[in-house]
Amino acid sequence: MTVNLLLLITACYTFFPLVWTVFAALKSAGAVQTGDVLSLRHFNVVANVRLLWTFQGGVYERWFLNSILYAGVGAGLGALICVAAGYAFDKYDFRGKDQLFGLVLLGVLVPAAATTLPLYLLASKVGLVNTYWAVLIPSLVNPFGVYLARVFSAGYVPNEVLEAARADGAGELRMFLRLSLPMLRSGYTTILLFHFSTIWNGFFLALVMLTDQRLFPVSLGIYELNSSLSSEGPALLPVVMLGSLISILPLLVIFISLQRFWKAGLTAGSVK
Amino acid sequence: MLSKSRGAVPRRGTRTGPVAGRNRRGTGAALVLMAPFFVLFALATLAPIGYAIYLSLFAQRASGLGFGGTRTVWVGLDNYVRVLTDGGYTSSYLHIAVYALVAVPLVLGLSVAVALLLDSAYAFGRRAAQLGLFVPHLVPGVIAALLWAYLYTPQVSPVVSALNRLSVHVNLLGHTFSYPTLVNVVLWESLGYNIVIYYASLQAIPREMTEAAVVDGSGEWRTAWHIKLPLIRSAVALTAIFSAIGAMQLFAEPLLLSDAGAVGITPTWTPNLYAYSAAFTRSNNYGVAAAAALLLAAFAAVLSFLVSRWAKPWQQT
Amino acid sequence: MNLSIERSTRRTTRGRAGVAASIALLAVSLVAACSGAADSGGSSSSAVDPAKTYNLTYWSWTKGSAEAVEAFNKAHPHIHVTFQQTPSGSKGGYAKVSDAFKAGNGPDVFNAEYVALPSFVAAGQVADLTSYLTPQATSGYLPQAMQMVTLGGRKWGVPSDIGAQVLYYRKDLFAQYGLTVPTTWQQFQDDAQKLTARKPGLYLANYTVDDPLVLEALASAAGANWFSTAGDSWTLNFTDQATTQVANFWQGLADKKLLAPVFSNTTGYTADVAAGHILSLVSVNWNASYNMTNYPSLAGKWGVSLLPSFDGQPTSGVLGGSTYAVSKSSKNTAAAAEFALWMTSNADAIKARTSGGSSAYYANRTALQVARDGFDTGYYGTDIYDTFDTAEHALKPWTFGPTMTATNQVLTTKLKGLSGGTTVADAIAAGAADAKQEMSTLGLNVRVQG
Repeated sequence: MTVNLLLLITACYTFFPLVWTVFAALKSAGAVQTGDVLSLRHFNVVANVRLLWTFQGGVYERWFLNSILYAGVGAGLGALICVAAGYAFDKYDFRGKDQLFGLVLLGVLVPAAATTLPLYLLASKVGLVNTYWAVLIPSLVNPFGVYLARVFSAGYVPNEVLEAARADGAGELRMFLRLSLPMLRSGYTTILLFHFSTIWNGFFLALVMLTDQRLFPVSLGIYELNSSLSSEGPALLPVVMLGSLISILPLLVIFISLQRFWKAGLTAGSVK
Repeated sequence: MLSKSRGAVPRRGTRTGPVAGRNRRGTGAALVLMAPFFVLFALATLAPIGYAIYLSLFAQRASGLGFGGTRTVWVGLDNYVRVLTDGGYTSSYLHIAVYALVAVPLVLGLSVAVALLLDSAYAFGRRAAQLGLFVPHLVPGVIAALLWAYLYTPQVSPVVSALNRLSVHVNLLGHTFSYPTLVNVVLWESLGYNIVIYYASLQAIPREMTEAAVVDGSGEWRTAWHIKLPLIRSAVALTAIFSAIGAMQLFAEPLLLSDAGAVGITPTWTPNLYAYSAAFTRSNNYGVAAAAALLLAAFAAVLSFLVSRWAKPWQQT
Repeated sequence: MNLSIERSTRRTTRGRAGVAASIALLAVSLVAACSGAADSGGSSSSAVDPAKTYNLTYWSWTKGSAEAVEAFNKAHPHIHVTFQQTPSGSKGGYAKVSDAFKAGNGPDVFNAEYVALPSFVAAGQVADLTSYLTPQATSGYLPQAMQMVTLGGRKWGVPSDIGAQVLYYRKDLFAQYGLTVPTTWQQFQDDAQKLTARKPGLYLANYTVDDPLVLEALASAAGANWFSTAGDSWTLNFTDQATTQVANFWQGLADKKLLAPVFSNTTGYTADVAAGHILSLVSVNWNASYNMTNYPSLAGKWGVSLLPSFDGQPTSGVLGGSTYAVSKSSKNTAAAAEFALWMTSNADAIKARTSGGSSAYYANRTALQVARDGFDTGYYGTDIYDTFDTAEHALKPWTFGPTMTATNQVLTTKLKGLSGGTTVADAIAAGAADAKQEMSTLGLNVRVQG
């Protein structure tokens, strides 16, 4: 029983801020400000939703779509790039392979944030700051995905199959596309899932690169809006709360429906 | 375990015969498959580092009242000296060190504990519990920090008002709570993530091993401590490294808490915040910002290298 | 939402480009185009050749800019202005302008707040407009605002609007607790003492000077001037008697626990104001429309009075406001100056600008009248612009330094010590040391006085 009691406490800790957010998102700014959140008074749902969807010409929707664009394209394409590279690391031998893989591991270990500022300086030099590209291109790079893909490739793509295809005279790239990639589908999905959540949750890159709020992803948009409350007043507090809540939903839906994959990914990355 | 594909095929160096031809073909394919990643990697990581090194060697200088404008001058390592002798920068490393010493053991320890609870024979609803505990990890870090910042604000927070009702008067935004409030945000975000990893590792332990221990008369605790824990060591080591990397790039959480009025957390509280501030909020001093960011990257690389040497997380056991 | 415009100046020190955000000003000034106003640009048009066509680019973040520019273009066949929307100064607007200048593709005209202008001047990025801003051309502008754009005896921008500190107080609660509206800081302290003694948990004000811009304005109102220029050198004076007096006064209130322990511009602060736990705000004119938007339930409960002073004489300090600056790299400085003058003085522009509800105070007389006529006095019950007038004319001169963003960041950090630890005087000393170091590192001549 102690076991379940402790688990219950953990669950309360986990859910308390979320429950608070749900209430805060549905209440008037005044109620949130004065701490009257966890009660059944002052609900203001319709007005909050309308405010969220109309403020600054409906820019929240734009942020949301931008996030889908950054995370969708970044992860969709990025995961494919990772799978190709990881597969190549697994299945081929060539000079300098260990050094090259060492570079990938270094990419995993050096915090992305430390290279983001240099990235901004360079992007500023070439005039790419404040464009979609400034966020999209760096988002494609995911060294940990390459590592994962190598592990998946070793596990899912039997060498014998490749040997047999080779004996039949199949080209190497063709083999990758026709044979190996289908076998790596679940690995690809796993990498994509984590890549997607990393980009969706990302903030620093966008903060540094973007100044035009029409290009913001939702995390940056909410952040800027929240900091503007200090100068503009709490009237937009419901937008911050409701916007935060809605920004969580896509990942929630995706992760619940694809449980099998992310659990596999977490395990592949660390256990074995 | 990371298999070499064709054990029978002669390795590089043998340049004769059809097999070598195939090998060359293989090398070509490998290059094509890897090219997109490495081109992007070079563009997004290596080139910026190179350019930042270049920028870090220059500074803007003016004279008199400055109305005549600035010119760019070569200053050698002056920017590095300036950053390293700035108490604000050096103490930012102290902050993340203290933070990491508190946060990493705490987060990992609690995660292991909860994972062991989940794995114990008595736990109910394991699947739902795992999924539920994982949810905070799906909340963008900046938003998690934002929500907690509200929960620390006395006028708004139900936590503070509940404590007040119990006659406990604390100022969560005061000096004393700088580290606890920060660690709490990160704990909340990463607890479930780690739990899921550890739980999966625990599930991978063959049942016979734990059952044998129980038959031997070991209690739950002894089994957990002596049998289960050693078996998930590599999972713990890997998550420890990721947590430490996380500490080095700490940014959104202290930024949000600082904005919310936390007394002890300054706008240059972590190395990352310092570099950001040098480039954007404090001045547009790119030389100093580049030096600060590069030193952080170098520090992180060296530290990660040493730790991964020691803990060998990549080694598949 | 129109609120964005009004108060941004207050956040300056946290903003991204660091230099404050007083969008307010801009917002307003932009539309200041069109018809009616005394076309003060006329006087400088001698340098503009009507036979030629000039192309200008103008960057700003304020609503209504596009319309104002359109109107300007219609009225000026020989000058064509292309408008580009940018993020506000605090959200990267200044960084963007500065980056563009470094890359050689900056705008001809852009907006800079008073606090940001000297940084652009000292970076050599804005043009000296002295020859265009003749006494005749600027006769319609508030002299105190003209002083704010003057540095080293030269004029570097056209003032758009300007904030002067006043005191907002809760009329209803003042009556309830028997407080008198303070005209001196001594009375302010007496009120604070009386209130907190009578009702613990209620405060006359919060830390207030934790916002460096407010601290600077209060020091200015007391007669301080931290930055000045003499010959080829900057002079720093952070330790004069006025500054010390201000620092000691607020430190004293904090030590006596007479200030609400909450930092300005935070959620906790607005919550305390809304709840009536804080009874007065040291603020500026555009806070008037901020109150209307954010505290609708407090309609009719606010009074506005002059800032208290140490000697009982009316005084005030500049808190926010912005200018139109012309790029040094602009090839059409004369046309750009004409544009800047027109945008800050034209009636139609101001009308469009203030239509969303603004309480901005324009430096130009014509523009001011338009804003004043358009202001809805219902919330306050009186024409608060009367008080603003007195405050504006009581403004003391002040100059911001060329590394103000850095200085203000240091001040912000150190002033958190108001909750215990470092004193206001310590914070100012740290700010002074930082200013000296930043300026010397940049290669500027700096002398420290006092």
